[in-house]
Amino acid sequence: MRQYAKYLFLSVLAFAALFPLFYTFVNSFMGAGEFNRYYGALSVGITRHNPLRIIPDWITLEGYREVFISRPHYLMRFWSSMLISGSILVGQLVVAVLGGYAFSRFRFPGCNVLFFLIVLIMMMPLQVTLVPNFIIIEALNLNGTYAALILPGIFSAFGVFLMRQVMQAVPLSLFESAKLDGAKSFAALWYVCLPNCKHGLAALAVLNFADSWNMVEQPLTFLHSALRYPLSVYLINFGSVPPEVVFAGGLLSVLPVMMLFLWFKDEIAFGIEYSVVR
Amino acid sequence: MRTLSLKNKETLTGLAYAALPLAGFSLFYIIPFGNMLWRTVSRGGIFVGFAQYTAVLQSDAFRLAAWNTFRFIGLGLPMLLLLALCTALLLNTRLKYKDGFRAAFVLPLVLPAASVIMVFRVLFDHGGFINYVLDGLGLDTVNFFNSGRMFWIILFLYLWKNTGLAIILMLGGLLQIPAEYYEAARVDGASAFLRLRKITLPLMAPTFIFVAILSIVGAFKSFREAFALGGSHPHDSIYMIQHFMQNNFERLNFPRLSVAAVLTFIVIFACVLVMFAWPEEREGE
Repeated sequence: MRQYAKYLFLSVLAFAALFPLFYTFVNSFMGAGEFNRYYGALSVGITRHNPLRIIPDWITLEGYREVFISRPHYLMRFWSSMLISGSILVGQLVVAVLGGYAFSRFRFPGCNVLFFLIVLIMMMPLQVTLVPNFIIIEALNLNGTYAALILPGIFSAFGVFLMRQVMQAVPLSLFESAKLDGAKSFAALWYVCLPNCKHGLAALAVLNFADSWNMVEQPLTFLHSALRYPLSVYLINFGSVPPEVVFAGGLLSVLPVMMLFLWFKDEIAFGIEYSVVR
Repeated sequence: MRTLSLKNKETLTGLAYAALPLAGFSLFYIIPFGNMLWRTVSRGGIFVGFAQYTAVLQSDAFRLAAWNTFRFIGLGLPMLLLLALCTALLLNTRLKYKDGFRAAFVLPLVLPAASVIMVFRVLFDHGGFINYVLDGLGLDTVNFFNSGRMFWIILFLYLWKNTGLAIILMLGGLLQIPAEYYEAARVDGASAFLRLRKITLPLMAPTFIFVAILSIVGAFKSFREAFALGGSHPHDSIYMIQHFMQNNFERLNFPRLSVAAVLTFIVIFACVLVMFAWPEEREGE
């Protein structure tokens, strides 16, 4: 009995977690006509109530044709988002590995204070860090460019924190035997440390990519032309999105993150669990 | 002498690895933050006191935003921690499909706001599904988005998005509690509830604080959902610090913006200090 209650509780939660994605997926095969019939009331705000359409009456790829062929600016924004998030991911991995290695394996003057500062930056909500970011972006004359989104993103503190936690869990004996074999510090990092941190790197990659892929506040702040907005900002602005492509466009925006997520799904949870090791 | 030089070498190597990250953090966060701090108390390079702070603290918009943010976190955080703890405790038992459940719970964290918002509109909009059901039952329909109920919808979205990460982190904390503690307690005849109260909860304190702070950061990210559903001037019940700041950004009102940023910083700073102080205290017990 208690067993059933347990599975029921977890299943309800899992259902709630998965439902929006499932709903988006299924409804992306809905045609414009059906969409307007069922969701028309939403966009114009009249009081006509709609039943929930889970499965479209008529399965069609209309939405996808619009997104992929008829309206090239979707793909354009998709690739802008890719460029931004991809650059941040590569830079962030380098910064996180270097910083994590330094703070987990070496002692240097001020390392505790500096690590405290990093945790502090990590804990700050965007609303605190956007103003300092803005000041430096202005000073570097990068306002209005994608670099204004990418550079602060590369130096997000979470990566250094996570990699430090993960690298600290790598057994010390591995490093000592590497040292006895005459490995320099970089060789130890490359051949000993990183192969043992794959789950941490995977978790970081997915979380970081998802975070920058979904960025909203930064583009609103730094990009002054709606034309340059990445997919994440464009899609939450419903006024600008034609209804028949809401779901297909939504699915397009989920795709890269989902692929990363499914690829690394076992490592992510394992990698995140590590971040509480203190 | 030799050990000293070895030590120096280690210091230098460590600094060399830390150099790039530290340079970046300084350039993009620490130095401009100092600059911002100075700007809030100076004009034309001269210290002018805290007049800007009093002005912001007295403004109605800021007070409303601060109160809403406080209310949001004050209600949402305990709910989130409790839900996550219960789920993590369940996940920490013998269970089939454990990995599947874990993966499902992390998923909301990585989904773009846009894909979720549409579903919420379909459900809660005035012409949406919930009103369809209410109407069908002969009840009055409810305006969710332009009323105080918006607060609860954003709160629900916050829980939906952030509980998964908290569950995984708490599971990580639970796994670190040595199994011998539980076995010893079981031998002594301690009940499941007593084991939870005397072993699990005290040993989880650092994890709780860590999760709490990350969840507070997550609460500030609820701006995205609030913005998507309510625009830049939503219903009063959900006008939060994030709206206050984003709107001041649009008006390029930097003094107000910077002051709000510094005030938010102070609150989070205090939380982080508590987190760092806590475990030491525990070890001393």
